[in-house]
Amino acid sequence: MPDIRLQHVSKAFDGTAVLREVDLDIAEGSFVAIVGKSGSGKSTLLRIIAGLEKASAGQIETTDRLAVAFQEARLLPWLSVVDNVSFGLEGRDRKKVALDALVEVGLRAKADVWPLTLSGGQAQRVSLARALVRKPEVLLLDEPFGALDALTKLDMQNLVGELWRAHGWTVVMVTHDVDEAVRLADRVVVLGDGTVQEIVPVPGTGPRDPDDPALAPLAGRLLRLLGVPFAGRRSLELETSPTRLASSLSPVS
Amino acid sequence: MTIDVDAVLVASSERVPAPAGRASGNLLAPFTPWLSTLAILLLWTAVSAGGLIGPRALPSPFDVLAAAWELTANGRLPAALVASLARVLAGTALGLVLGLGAGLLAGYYRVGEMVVDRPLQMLRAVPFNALVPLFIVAFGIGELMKVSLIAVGVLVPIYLNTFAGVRNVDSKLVEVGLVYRVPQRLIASKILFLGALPSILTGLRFSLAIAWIALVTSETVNTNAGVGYILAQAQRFVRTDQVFLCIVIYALLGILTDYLVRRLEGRLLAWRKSYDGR
Repeated sequence: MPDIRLQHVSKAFDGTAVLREVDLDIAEGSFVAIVGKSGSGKSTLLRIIAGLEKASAGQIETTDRLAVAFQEARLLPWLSVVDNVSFGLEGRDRKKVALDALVEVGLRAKADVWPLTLSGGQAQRVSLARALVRKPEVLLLDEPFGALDALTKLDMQNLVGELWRAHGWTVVMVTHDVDEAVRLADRVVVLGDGTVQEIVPVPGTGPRDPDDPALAPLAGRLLRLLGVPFAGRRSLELETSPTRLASSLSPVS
Repeated sequence: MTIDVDAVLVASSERVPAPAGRASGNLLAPFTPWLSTLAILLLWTAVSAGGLIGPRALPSPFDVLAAAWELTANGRLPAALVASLARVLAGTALGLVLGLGAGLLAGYYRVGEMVVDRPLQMLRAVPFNALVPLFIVAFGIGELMKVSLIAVGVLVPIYLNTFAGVRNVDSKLVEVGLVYRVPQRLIASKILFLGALPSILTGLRFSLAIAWIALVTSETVNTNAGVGYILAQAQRFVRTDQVFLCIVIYALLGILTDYLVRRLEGRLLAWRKSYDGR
């Protein structure tokens, strides 16, 4: 039984089709990355799954227990970090639950500061903690690391991968970074022209090492599917590390 | 020890609690904004002492102090202050409740906007002292008229800033509340209201400034208590020293209320990380 099932999902904005008849099954506990160029409809697809956007046609089966982390952390700047994490929770132990989640993302020390004093990576950790406390079945990530620097990004990918393993969530991550997709996901869904072009399985379990030699060909294949020309990649691979090569090519959108 | 003049000036503007360390060791820092006022006072003293302008037209600061003493000793000034403050407080409280209520109603609900916004925008276009004759007819010449006039003056800026504040809250933050199925009341209070608070407090400062103006206007109509009454009497008996005293009192009360709102802002908006001047 899939955790999320999309059947013939279409979406149009003012008559312009963004998604056309998308069919997608996402198995419970799997990590699916959705890649696509800008305007491929990948964020719209995620927003439809999240219930923030209504599909123009089609059926969506999903769970109530879902959490979303957006590209911007979207913390309420006027609530302390811990109050952001526990925002909307009920019960007397809400603060303790929030503090435990902050421990899990490594930010216990920042519980009482204002969000505007956090760095981008720290803010994203808080946003993950806020998702964590809802005990979600499904975690939706909308280009969550797009605004972070390269090093912080790797850190955050590890954190998400480890949290996914520890909690057994179903994760759907929208990204334009094919390296990120192959590091973390079980399956990579390539979206183009509003439909699923191809689904590429990734062997092994994330988070994979960035210099894993199996990743570069996969990332290359994804880039080709996304229509990014890169003649000469094979010969370059001999002298450059695959990750560096792939990330130098990755800005697709 | 060297004193960084810039740091002193920044630390002394009471807008936001100064970052620790900036003003440390400088006890005079809080008084630096008053230096220009002190200069004006000195100039005033010099001009009136020079005898160029007679005390009828320009009493010296000492004359004004003497007038303050005289009116305090005979009990008129304290009674007047109590009467005026009571009016301002009542009018401001009423205007605040109505303006905040209307602003939140219009901000939260489109229907509310449809009902409330147009009339209040029209009210905004009317100078509130043009309402005096109408209010005299409607409410008489007693306290109700005066309090209502102040309330109307206060209501408009509070309404405008509350409405704009709610509508300027980032919809992305509201989406967070929707995704996590947070109850509507929490979205209203913790996202929309707190998000609008900086704007609401700006409105409050405008409102309080207007409250004092409305007070003076209302106290020119058939008053027998209040600072405006002393002012009217002083004018009639050509007591320029008392006229000056009343003006100084209005100025001080204005500064005091502004200071209180700034303190409130410092407390409530401590989360902000905004440009602080240099």
